Amino acid sequence: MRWVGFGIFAYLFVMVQMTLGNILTLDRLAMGPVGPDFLVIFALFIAFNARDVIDAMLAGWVLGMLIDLTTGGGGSCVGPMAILYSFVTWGAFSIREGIYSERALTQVIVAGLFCIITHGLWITIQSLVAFKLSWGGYGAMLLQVFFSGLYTAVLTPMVYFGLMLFRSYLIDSLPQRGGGRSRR
Amino acid sequence: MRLMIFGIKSSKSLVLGVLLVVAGITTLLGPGGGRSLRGMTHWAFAHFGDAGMYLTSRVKSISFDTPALTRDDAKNLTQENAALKRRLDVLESKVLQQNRVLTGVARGSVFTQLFGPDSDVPVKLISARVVAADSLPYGYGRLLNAGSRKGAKNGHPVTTRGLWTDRKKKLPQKFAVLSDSALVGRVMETKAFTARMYMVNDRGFSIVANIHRRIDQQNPRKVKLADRMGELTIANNLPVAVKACGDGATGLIVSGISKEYNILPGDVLQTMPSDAMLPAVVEIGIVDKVTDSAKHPGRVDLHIKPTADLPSLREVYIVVPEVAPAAPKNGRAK
Repeated sequence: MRWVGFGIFAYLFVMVQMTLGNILTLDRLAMGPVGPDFLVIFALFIAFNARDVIDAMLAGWVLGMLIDLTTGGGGSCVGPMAILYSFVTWGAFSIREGIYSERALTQVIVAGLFCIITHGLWITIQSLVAFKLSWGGYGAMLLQVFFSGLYTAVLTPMVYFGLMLFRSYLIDSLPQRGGGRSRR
Repeated sequence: MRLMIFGIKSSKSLVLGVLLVVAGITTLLGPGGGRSLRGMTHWAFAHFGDAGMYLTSRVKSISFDTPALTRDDAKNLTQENAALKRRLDVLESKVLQQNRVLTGVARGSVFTQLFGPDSDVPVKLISARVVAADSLPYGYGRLLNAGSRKGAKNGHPVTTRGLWTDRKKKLPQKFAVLSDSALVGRVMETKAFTARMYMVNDRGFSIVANIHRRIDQQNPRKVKLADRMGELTIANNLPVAVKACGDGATGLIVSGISKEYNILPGDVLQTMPSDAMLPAVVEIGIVDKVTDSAKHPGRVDLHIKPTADLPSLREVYIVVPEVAPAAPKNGRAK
């Protein structure tokens, strides 16, 4: 991982999510707002391209913590998304060998699942620790999660392709055979 | 890769383990701990969000609900505007005449005190801008670019910036008519230069407020008076005190209101003038729907639509109550 490049991109992504991302949020729906999560796509990109699972999980932790620190509505607590992103990034890293991760359809499906799992569990943890939700309110939020997951999935190929253009700034290039050791 | 941290041989796995434990502990700290942690990082996001939020609020202020105008509609509206402008000119000239009478004839007299402008509301207004929204679409928090250095504290109400004047001259800075504004939220996290507010439709928001019932001469409504049912009139139209909570979606909800109050769509939710934090009548929203309450049989739930256009919110005032009822030096609220 190239951590400096990752840090800059993570900051840019969270700023876009907090500002311009709101343009894409559908906030006049009866069930509540539905919007994309660009950081899920970034985390998925890292999971599919990182060379080391620990690197991918660390990146997931950072992205999850950024979301926690920039989401205050409802009086949410800080931390659950960092844990969830770490483990779901590990999951995506683990399955990447068994799927065609370069295909747009695969990215769409995995990003949708990634978003629904992380956001769904986040809502569940927040409703246990912070939110005062009725069962009806919890159900409505899960519905929001589902549609936000679909929305994120639809946008994934475009954002993923954009990130591929900057891959060399984010991920270490593959080492040459011999790992750089001198041959005698 | 191995690192030496505090003399301990460390690896990335160990760092990850520590970070996960830290995240677990901060989760268990709950919402209070979360607010403190978020407050510490406001500075990192507040400075660069301004341009993005400007663009967002401009785009969001475009209404997609309004149907397209026909050519005839546009013509009628133009004619109506011209007629209204003529009426406005007449009214402005009348106001000028009355001002001349008030200021020239009876300056400083009891007459001025009785019929002059209302006294100021004892509040100070801090102007602020929304510079960032929440990352996730499940809450309605907004980051503001004014904090405790300007006097903002947790619990202070936030309103839109309303301005109304009949004067064709430059107004003093921060001149505002508070009663023409709408309540949009409350400050919940404050740091030196930033604050985060929860908007009125956020799940964490609640307020004790009044419902003001409109009187329609064409359709009089029956309400329960002291001991009998009677017609609602200006004389007996007392405000109905309610507790409104954000519904986490499009507005606020008031649960379990007695049907005897006969609250109807179009009635207005307003702040209480006796509220120490906002001692003025400020509109919060309008009753959009009245439905039978599932939790409280025989009662109704009120669904309130906020007056302000919250998704496109940009310029706001943080209302700081003053203990002594004195006019603020650089702000004025009527």
